[in-house]
Amino acid sequence: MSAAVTVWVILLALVALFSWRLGALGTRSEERRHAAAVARRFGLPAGAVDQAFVRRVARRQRFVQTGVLLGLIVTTFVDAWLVPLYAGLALGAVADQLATPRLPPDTPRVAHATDARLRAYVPEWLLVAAAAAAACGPALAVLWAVAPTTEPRALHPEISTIETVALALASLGGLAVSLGLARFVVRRPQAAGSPADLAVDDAFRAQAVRDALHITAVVSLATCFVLGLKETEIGGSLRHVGGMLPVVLLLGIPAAGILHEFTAGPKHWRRRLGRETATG
Amino acid sequence: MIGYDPRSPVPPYEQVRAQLARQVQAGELTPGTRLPTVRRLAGDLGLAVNTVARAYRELERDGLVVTRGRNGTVVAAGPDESVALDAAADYAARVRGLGLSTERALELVRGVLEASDPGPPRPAAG
Repeated sequence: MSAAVTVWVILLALVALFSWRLGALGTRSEERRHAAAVARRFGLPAGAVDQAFVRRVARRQRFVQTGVLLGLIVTTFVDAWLVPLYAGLALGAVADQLATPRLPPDTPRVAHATDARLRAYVPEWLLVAAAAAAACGPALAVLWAVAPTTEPRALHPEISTIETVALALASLGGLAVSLGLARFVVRRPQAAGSPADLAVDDAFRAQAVRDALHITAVVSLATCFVLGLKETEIGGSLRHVGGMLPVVLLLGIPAAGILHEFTAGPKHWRRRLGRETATG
Repeated sequence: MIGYDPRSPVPPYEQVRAQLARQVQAGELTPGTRLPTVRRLAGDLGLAVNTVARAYRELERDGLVVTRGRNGTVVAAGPDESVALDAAADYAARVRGLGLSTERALELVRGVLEASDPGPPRPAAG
């Protein structure tokens, strides 16, 4: 093993260890307050905040922090905007779902009587918005390909035609990865021993799905901005369209996030699945 | 929601079948509602796939759910009342022809229905 690789391994191990400890640093009362805030945001009843829930929140926090920190390190060394950071966030959330302990075989269990799909966990408009954001990159690439051009065309020769196509595909790839991770989370078996357990798991699944959608947001934004550099090569009125798309995305993505919070998006799962698990 | 209690003397497939049947009959699961896939429900409840598949088959046999290939298993629509309405119209025409009063006609129907009533559902055998 070369010295550089050894340094990397040690560095990553330290970061993982640090982030793991970070999640456990808070005092018990702070952890409980944080868990209560999480429960309120998810629309869980106050009674859901027991010791198991506090531990569940702390565990998720550790996984997400580890993912974000690892993503941050990769972001420092790889020129990929903040994509690794958000990928780390999403993968941390998925890893947290994978770490959900199994129930002993002789334990009573409960399950949803209806087929809980992606739309049960996040509002449909959020999925449509994610698809629209992912379509912006390909739209810019098509615009650049079909619109009348200014002369000279190669104002940004560093972005070749092949790279343009690759960026457009990367935008769609971001959506595919997001939806793939989200579906993976939603389709995993739920091990719940009571309606309250099932509700808590639903709430964390919904959060993991939202975290997975962050990948689409950041990949779409990155590809759209890079492709937006070619907007100067577009002639005629379509040039304004090409110039506006990255701006629309830059404003639209935070707006979608805010709208999601204000329309009780984190509690969406409860409207769709909560009747079955109503615990108070 | 469906529960499964491994300590219950009721067989696992019957626990699943009975709960789904009750929810469909009570209208908690409305027609068209998609049930979880057999594999998913088996995974959630920690049961064998065949156990859940048997429960679904019995529900389908009882007309409570229908399997639509790739669309999965959905709660069946309620019984078609138009057939019963046609029969009732025929019956009304016949009793009018015979000169029976409405009260007597209803009394006759009630008697026949009560005689053919299968009674409360028997507990299913394992």
